[in-house]
Amino acid sequence: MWAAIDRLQRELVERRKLLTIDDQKSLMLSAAMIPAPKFLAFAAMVGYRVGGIWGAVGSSVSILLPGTLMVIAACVLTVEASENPALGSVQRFVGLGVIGLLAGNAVRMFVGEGIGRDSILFGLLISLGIPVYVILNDGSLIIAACAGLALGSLTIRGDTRSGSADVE
Amino acid sequence: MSSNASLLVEILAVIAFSTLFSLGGGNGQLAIIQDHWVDPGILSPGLFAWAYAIGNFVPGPKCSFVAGIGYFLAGFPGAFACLVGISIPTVLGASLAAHWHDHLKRYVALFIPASGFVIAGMMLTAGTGLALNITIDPVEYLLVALIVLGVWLKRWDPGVVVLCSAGIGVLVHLFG
Repeated sequence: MWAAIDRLQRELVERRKLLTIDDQKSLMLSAAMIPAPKFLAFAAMVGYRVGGIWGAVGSSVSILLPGTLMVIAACVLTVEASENPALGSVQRFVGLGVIGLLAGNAVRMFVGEGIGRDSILFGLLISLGIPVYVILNDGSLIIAACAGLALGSLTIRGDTRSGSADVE
Repeated sequence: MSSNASLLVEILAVIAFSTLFSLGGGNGQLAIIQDHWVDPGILSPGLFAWAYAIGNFVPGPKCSFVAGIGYFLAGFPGAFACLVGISIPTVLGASLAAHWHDHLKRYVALFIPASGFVIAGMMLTAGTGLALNITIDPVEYLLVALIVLGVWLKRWDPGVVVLCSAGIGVLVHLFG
C-alpha cells in the first residue's frame, strides 16, 4: 500500500501538481473514515479531486483490476487442480492460518491504542457480544454489528484507534 | 428473474453491503461474507479461506479477494458482480467525502471510535465460525494459537502467515 502511495505522490503531487502534499495527507486521513477499504477509498478520493465522479470510478476500477484479475486467475487454477490431494492439505492448513489471522487481527483491533478504562468495558461488551449473539444465539450478524455500532457511538468517545486490520 | 441473475444481484448486494463494514480500515467484510455464504453451506470454508489467502499475495488492495469469492459462487459473472459491488459504495462514499469533507467529518467521527470494537467482534465471529466449520485437531489448535499470538504481538505479515501455512500443508501431505 505504502509503495503505491509513494508512487501516487510522485506522480500527482510532484510531477503533475494536481494535488498539494497537504491535500494528499488530508485525503489519506479521510479515507480511513469512509466505510470502504482504506486504500481503495483513498484512490477514489484522489480520482474525484482530479476528475469528478468519473475520476473516482476510473481510479477505483484501475486500482482494483490488476489484483482482481490475478485473484481470478489463481481461483481458476485452483478449480482446475482441485483433484490434486496435495491441494486439499495445503487448503486445510491455509484455512487454519486464516483462522489465526482473523483472531489475531481481532485482538489487535481491540487493543488498538489510547483506550480509556470506560471504553474498554463497553468495547469488551461489543466485541464479545457480537460473536456470542451470532454463534450461541444463532442471531443475525448484521443486526449485532449495527447494534454494536449504535451502542458504541453513544458510549465510546475520544479514542484514537489504530485501525490495524489488514484488509485494505 | 432467472436464478443466475438473482444470484448475481445477491452477490452484488452482499458485497456492497459488506464493504460498509470496512470502516476505519478494518475487515468486517469477511464476517458478512462468512455469515452469508459459508455458514449456510453455500461456499465451503476451505474455498473462502483460500480466496482470502490469495488476496494477500496480489498487488493492490487486499479486498480484491472478494473477486475469488464471486468466482467460486458464480464463475466470471460472480467475480464481476463483486468488483461492481465493492466499487459502488467506495466511489459514492469517497466522492461524498471529497465533496463535503468538512461537513461529513464530524458525523462519521461519531462512529470511528466504536468501529474498531465492532470490527474486532465481527472478525472474531468470522474466525470462530470458520473454525466451527473445519474439524480441528488439538495439535492444530496450537498452530492457530501460535498464529494468533504472532499476529497480535509481533504483527506477522498475513502473506507470510499464509505462505508458511501452505508450506506446512505441503510438508504434512508429503510426510504426514
